[in-house]
Amino acid sequence: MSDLFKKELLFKILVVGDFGVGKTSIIKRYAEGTFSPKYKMTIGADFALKQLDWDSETRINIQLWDIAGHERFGYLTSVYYRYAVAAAIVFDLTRPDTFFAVAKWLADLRDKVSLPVGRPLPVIILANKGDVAANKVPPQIEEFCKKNHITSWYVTSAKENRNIDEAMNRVVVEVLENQRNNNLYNSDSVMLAEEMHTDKHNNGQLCCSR
Amino acid sequence: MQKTLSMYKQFLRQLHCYIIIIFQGVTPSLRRSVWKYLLNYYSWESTQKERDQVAKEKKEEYYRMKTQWMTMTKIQEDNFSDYRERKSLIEKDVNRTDRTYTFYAGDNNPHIQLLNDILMTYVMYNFDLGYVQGMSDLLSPILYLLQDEVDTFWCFVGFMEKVISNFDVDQAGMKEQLQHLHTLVAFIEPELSTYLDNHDSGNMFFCFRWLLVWFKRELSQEDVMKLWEVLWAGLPCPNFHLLICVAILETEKRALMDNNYGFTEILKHINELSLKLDVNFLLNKAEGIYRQIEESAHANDNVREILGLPKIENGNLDSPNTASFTYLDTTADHASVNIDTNEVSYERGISNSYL
Repeated sequence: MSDLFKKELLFKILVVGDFGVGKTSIIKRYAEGTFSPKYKMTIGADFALKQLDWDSETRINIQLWDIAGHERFGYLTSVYYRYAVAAAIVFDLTRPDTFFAVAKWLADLRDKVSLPVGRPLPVIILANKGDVAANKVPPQIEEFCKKNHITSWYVTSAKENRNIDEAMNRVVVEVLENQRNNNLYNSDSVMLAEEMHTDKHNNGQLCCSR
Repeated sequence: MQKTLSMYKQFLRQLHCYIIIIFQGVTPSLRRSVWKYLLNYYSWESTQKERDQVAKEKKEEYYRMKTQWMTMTKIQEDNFSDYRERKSLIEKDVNRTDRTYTFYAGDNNPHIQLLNDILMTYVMYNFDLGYVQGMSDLLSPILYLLQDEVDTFWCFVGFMEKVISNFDVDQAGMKEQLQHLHTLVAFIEPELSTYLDNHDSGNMFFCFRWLLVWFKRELSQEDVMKLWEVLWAGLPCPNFHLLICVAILETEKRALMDNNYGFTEILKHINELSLKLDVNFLLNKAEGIYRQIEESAHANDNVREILGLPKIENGNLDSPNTASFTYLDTTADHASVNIDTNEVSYERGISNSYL
């Protein structure tokens, strides 16, 4: 099928988490395929776009929102969260404190944004800097995910390009499933004009991947 | 007589600095000395002897504070979570501050260590504020210019005094500035302000980065130094940085509106202006806007107050009344100038300065 007839979807996906956990690096790796140790810390918010040819009939435009991690600027987040359809919460495997902050970020998301029908946003957790500390995965993570209805978490490395695509694909799958289940096709928040087709990329990866 | 002479000298020194800033003939060595006055390290009226004394005292004071955190034991740190958090945040941030500039590039760069030490010492100097993201961006150009730890620290303290409300715990200072910016845009570009209001952007959040670190992320090192000098000097008015914002927005107005951008696209467009802005053009334009407001009989007190202009008591703004004439006494010909014609004021701004 030619590009002209492809169905275009736009997904706004938030990337949140404590300062310095690698949000910008993950986004740049995913959207631009690059990594640099020289990224500046994010002030306010920024975002990157990535186009996914999901299947022969669907093109997905992903808008990844890179949201500053400093607590002080938390009042800004509700505006940046608006219209999001999913979120990734990132923590840094080399800094245990940042895992404990995941709960805080989840609460912030739950508090400030939900899908148009009032259902919670699908969320995944990324345990970043897996190139340095893959063996330091906090044992509580399984329990945490279960308790908070989070279906997936991944050990990632933006530096070594590990699991980033897999994790983002998983997010997309969850968004598509969500939309199918909720029949949200006429949502006024994002452009979801047409009925979704069965996605062919769902590789059934429902368990957690390391 | 002695006093008059010293006041005269002080006036000349200040005037000299301002002329330098305005005409932009600042060489690095001159700038090094000018900044110390602009950032209240030295007072304008000081003598050389007094400055030597200040430098000596400030140096001792700095190292006393630096020793305080450097000698903290592990147990002390373990029992002091606020301190630990700040230390870790500073360490993270200095390692991602201007690493693309040669001065801060590479592994184990000593200048990164200096940024770290100065910010840590600032935590001891002002523990209530401590460290908030953005501060490393404000520090970096000062160290780059002065290349002296102690001088840089005290100049940074002076800079922080000017922008401390940007880092309020409740962010009241930032919120107020965003509101003021909206007020100014509504006055200068009502069409744009209505557009922003109708496109989820009346909160002006897309200008957050500009305001937090005074365009540090938008301009090159050289240009940001030039801009900060003007802003530190308070020329031509307080809150001039808000008029720089207005100048950019006015320039981008058509791009934003003609493309029918919403909240997301506006943020993206604004963020992508980074390193594409011309500081001289903006300074000229912002000054033009200031002159326009200064001379406008229509500017209400809200607008005037933001820019430190005297209020028009009477409130009847449509016709130039006696009250407004009292304040606008330098410009007897105002009634005949159509202030709403932007070009007039812009031309004046351009011819007056910054060229």
